[in-house]
Amino acid sequence: MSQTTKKVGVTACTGINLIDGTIARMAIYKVLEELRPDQTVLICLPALAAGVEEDVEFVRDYPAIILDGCEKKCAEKVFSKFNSNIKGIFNVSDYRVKYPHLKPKSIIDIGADGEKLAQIIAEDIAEKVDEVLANA
Amino acid sequence: MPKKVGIIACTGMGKALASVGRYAALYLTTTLRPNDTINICFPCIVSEDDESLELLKNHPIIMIDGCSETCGKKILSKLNSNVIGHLKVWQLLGKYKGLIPDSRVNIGEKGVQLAKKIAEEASIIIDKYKKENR
Repeated sequence: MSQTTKKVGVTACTGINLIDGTIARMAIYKVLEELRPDQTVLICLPALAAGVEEDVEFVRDYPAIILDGCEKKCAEKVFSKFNSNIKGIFNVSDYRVKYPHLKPKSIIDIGADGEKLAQIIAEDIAEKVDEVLANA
Repeated sequence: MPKKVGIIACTGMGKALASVGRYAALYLTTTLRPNDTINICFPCIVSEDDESLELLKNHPIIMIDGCSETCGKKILSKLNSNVIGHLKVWQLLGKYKGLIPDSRVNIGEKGVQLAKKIAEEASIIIDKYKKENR
């Protein structure tokens, strides 16, 4: 395994007008802090777009997994402008369709159902992280 | 009649202060000044979403940046925007000493208090704008 594939960069769209943006944010935090803390690095989408060196380097050096909140796919669009190596694309809206009984509360507080949804998404992303690292 | 003021938080994910800025934007637009403000999604701006760029063009803007990288300011300076206020969360923490957020995932009670202070700072800018644009 090469130096640059020991970790996977993960990012969320962090959108602010829809609950799904908050769910994306919480799911990525779960991956980073609970599920795969030693295998992942955060790529901050606004920082990447602003050209912050650390984030630009992460995109260049690590394979990436993207979690968008809605059909606008903002994170995917921003990553496409950089020399990125996208290995997985997830979207919260797909999970909302798959788990209609889980009803998040609000943008500020996603509530218990929102947390469950974030956990489900985070677990899928964690599996993808394992797959990316296994095939590196 | 003055236009609604567009509120943009950087929505960064790496630091707790960016989470505070995000909360401040949401509190401002949903609770403190819902009739005078409109929340504009920063990730939509950076991905050049047409609808969001149109909002940026047509509303005066208060930008809330979480950290000293000032990603929001950097990006807006390259776009067609009218920034009437730039709030820097890390600097305001110096003004409201002690209101240190718990974490980036959960800003906690003090983080919420800091967010509300930031929203109040924005509210002063909004009042000034409204007074000057009656």
